[in-house]
Amino acid sequence: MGSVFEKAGQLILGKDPLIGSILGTTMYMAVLSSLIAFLLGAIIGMLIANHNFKGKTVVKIILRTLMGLPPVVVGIVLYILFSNTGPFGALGLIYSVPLMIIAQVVLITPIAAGMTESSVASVVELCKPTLKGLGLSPLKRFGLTIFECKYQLVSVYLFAFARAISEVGAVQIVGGNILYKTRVMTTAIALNYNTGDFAYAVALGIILLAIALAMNLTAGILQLVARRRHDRV
Amino acid sequence: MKKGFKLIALVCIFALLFTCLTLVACNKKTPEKIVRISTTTSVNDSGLMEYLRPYFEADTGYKWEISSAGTGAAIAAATYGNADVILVHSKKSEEEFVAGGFSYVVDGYAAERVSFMHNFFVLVGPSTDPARVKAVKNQSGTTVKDGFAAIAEHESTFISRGDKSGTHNKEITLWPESVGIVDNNVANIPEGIKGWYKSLGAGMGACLLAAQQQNGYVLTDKATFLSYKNASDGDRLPALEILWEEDSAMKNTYSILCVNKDAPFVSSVTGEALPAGSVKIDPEAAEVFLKWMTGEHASQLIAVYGVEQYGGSLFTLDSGYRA
Repeated sequence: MGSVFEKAGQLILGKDPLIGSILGTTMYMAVLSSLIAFLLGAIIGMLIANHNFKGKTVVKIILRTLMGLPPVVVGIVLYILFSNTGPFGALGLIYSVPLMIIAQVVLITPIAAGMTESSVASVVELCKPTLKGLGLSPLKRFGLTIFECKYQLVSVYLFAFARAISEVGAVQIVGGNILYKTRVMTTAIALNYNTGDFAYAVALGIILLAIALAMNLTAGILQLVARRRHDRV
Repeated sequence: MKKGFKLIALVCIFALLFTCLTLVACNKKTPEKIVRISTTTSVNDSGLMEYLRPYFEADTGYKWEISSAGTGAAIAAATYGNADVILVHSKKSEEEFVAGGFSYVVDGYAAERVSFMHNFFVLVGPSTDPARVKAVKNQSGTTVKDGFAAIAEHESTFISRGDKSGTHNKEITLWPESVGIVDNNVANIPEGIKGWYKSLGAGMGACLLAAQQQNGYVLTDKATFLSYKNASDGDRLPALEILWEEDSAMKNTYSILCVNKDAPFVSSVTGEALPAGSVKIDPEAAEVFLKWMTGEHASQLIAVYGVEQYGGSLFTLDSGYRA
């Protein structure tokens, strides 16, 4: 295993000519897709949690089903739709990072929405009487609910990012794993497994984990600081 | 309260539209000259294309974008209008592609399929050789099919790709009729051989490792086998060795096919015919690629590929494809 960590070290130190491109594409794709999916998902989740309407149970069931969307199937469907012979072919998005982002958004939005809904629902029930009692407008009530749920939302975002950076099935299909264009960490790992370069594959995996760790550490520290300040007040 | 419903739907639609528009705006095409190549994973995994890339880009001024998938998906990519040229090694599928009108004869070449190089599949198995394949090989006048017959006779473990890849398609042609493997549909594998004939539905690497673990025989391309034998962390297949190679029945021919821009493309959703010229294909780029790959410089490069690392070249160039 020594050789694996050696290899990871070399990769981090930039001794590999490909890592810069792969890492850049990965971060661009993961950050953008997780942000879009998080925004969409959080809004949808909050709306569902905040409102009681007819068919709410049905919506929740659909949402939870969509949380289990198989990535490969999403990849194939988008591939068909965005192929040059498909209805959206004229956009020229096949084998491009934007299409990978679209795939990720389709996959992650229901998860973000479902997680938001279930974690926020309890908070909302507690806040609702108070907020209503204060006589605030619906928009202000919504804003205050978001504020009350900020910690839950941070977890939801972190999960969305983790999904975005580690997904392989859909991005492989719609991105085509093209070097210098659509190759990301996960598709590079799969490729290196296929070529038998296990050490390189695991080394890439270590870097991927390190990025996730850094994200979570940052979020954890921010939450800690925020909580301390909150307590002092 | 219907309002909630409507609001959610509205937000969803708006946000999706916004996303799409932003992404399209961000994706402005660079004015670079690009050739889109679709190839099989095994071609990509051999490392040949990455080795050739800088030379191609320096010589022609084109950049190449290689997407790789299984044989079926690699060819489908071209029929979906997502490639200018394909580089594959599955004769039957290539012929269907040509018969469908998806390729054309480039000036100066004899046919749509430009079979420009080959290597050999090799039969790999445990050094202990429970089916005595080596003994069969040493008899005069035997072919690799006799080796496969010996495996079937001894009911020794055989690992099959089972994924309709070029390798799988080759493997099914090598069994004697009595075994009962008729086509590449895994549903048709006879009940009687299931004890020793393992259909994995996995890539070459996974199958080689399975053969290593289970003391099985396996048909593989030589490049992948050698790369596993000479991996950076040592020999990953210590139990396995090449038992049969260089048999004409195991020849693995690689072809380049340029995609016809006037091919009968159909909508990938409705299946309706699309108007001619509506699918963007760049035959100029495809021909630049074809001519370079079959040209002097590429020939010199391919001939020495693998010599340093494996002690022998991995691909042999063919000729005779010119008009």
